[in-house]
Amino acid sequence: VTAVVVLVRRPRAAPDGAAAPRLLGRCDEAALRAALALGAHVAVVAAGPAEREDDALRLALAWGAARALRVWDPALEGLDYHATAQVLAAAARRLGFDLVLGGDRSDDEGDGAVGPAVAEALAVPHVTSALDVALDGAGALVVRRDPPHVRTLRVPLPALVTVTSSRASQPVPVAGGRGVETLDLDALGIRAAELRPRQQCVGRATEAPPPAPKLLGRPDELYARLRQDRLL
Amino acid sequence: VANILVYIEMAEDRPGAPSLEALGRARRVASTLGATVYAVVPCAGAPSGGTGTIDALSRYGADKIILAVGPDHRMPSLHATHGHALWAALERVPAALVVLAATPGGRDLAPRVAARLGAAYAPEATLDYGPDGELAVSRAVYGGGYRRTLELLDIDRPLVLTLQPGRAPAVRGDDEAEVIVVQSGAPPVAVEEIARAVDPASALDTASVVVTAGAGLAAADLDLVRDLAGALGGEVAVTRGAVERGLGPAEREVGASGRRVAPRLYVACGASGSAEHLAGVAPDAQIVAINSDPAAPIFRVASYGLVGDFAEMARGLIAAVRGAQA
Repeated sequence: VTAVVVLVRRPRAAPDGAAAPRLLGRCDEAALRAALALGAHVAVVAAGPAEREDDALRLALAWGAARALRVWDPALEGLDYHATAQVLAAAARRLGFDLVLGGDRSDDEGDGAVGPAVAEALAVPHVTSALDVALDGAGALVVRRDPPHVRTLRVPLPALVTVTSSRASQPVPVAGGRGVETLDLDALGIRAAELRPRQQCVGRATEAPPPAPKLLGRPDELYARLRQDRLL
Repeated sequence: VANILVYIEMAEDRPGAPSLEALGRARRVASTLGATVYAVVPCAGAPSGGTGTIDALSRYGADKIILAVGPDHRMPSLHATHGHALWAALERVPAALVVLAATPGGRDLAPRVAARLGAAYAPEATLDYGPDGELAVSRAVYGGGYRRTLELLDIDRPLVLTLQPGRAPAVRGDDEAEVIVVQSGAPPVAVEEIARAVDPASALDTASVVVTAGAGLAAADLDLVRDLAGALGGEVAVTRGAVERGLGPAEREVGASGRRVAPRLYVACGASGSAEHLAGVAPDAQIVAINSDPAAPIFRVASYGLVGDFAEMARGLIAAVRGAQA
């Protein structure tokens, strides 16, 4: 079985911040761990510049991924969920897959839109928010919360599953092996103009006014205040 | 905006409460936009729930109801199982605004619908009028430190939204809605349910008070977290950092990689307040932070705070609650 892991987004500290507190978003990391635990041939794909994505892709290789592919074009800076998905889907198609796994959502923006949009571009069924993924013959078994139940669903392959968590632990990194491969948009047959980031659809992020926390000196004062504000 | 389409997720043959709330909120903006509100109900044969469903949707403000009739809609609401029903409705009625409740099902359906429509997408959003009367969609990002806002008039393409279930008052429509029947056919792929178990932590989904243990706590503090939750009539949760430190079970994790909760009161104990953690807390929850570090980012989003040793603060708070109850 060939699995492609699409890295949805490297989390950022603030909308304009370059500093990334983590190499991988929590959900992207879970998707990668889940893919490696399936015993599949795993290829990992990211869309972004080398300085943002290569550390994560090298980590994926060290954890046991067979290939790591990065696609980028400076024209894509600031790309929205739709453009990100077109790039990741074209790369997944190029690599070939039975199953595509991706992070359910990014830690910072939390759209949760890239995975389903990749599935749409690939014309395969998708299931989001998997707590765990396993393979079962020609299907993927997806454990998913659907209040008040936890259900196990079988989705026929090829399919895309977005992952929030995985029971698989972090693999022990092994040095060496292949390096990160890169592709440009031409190689994937994508025209940057068609993917122009649609800021208009993303909107503006502005700092939310902090609620000016009422710091209370003592627990009994807090309790009285919560009663007064009718929260208790 | 001519047509607003609201997808209704059914729960045991009745329209689910989050979907009715989304319908009510669509109604409120539709009246000023002069738009028509369509409620889309997936159903097998006759409308499930009989006329009760039609009545409820009319009452919550649907102008028209589209019954998308297919062979089997009993599976959990996902794009793979129900998407074709929504598509059948969208083919009949092109919509500028598609609204779903931000349930696990809505979050699965909505982004795929947005992708196929080439639409703008705003998840877990609020739909409100700005200071100049302009209609805007906004949502909390980066752990609530920022809000991303999209003005409806600024965009030249459809918009797909999921609305955070909250405490919006019900809107009363007046007349019986017109019913339109479309045939949705069968889903293109067969998703099967293999197993189903009761979620041991599902009480968190509806809890009005949640007390969360963060990675800053010690194992010895956990009994106090449980006692505090008990005193406040709430449920216990944990952050990802706390799960990784063995302080609680993964099924009670709140955050981007865990559950989403929407309590009235959210008590964060020894949690630094990472964006990843706060992504799991509904923006209208009032946050109480108990933390020994006054510089912790949690105080940027907390409405109330106690700075100090957790055990001491928790004991004091439990004593205050119990004293008032005695």
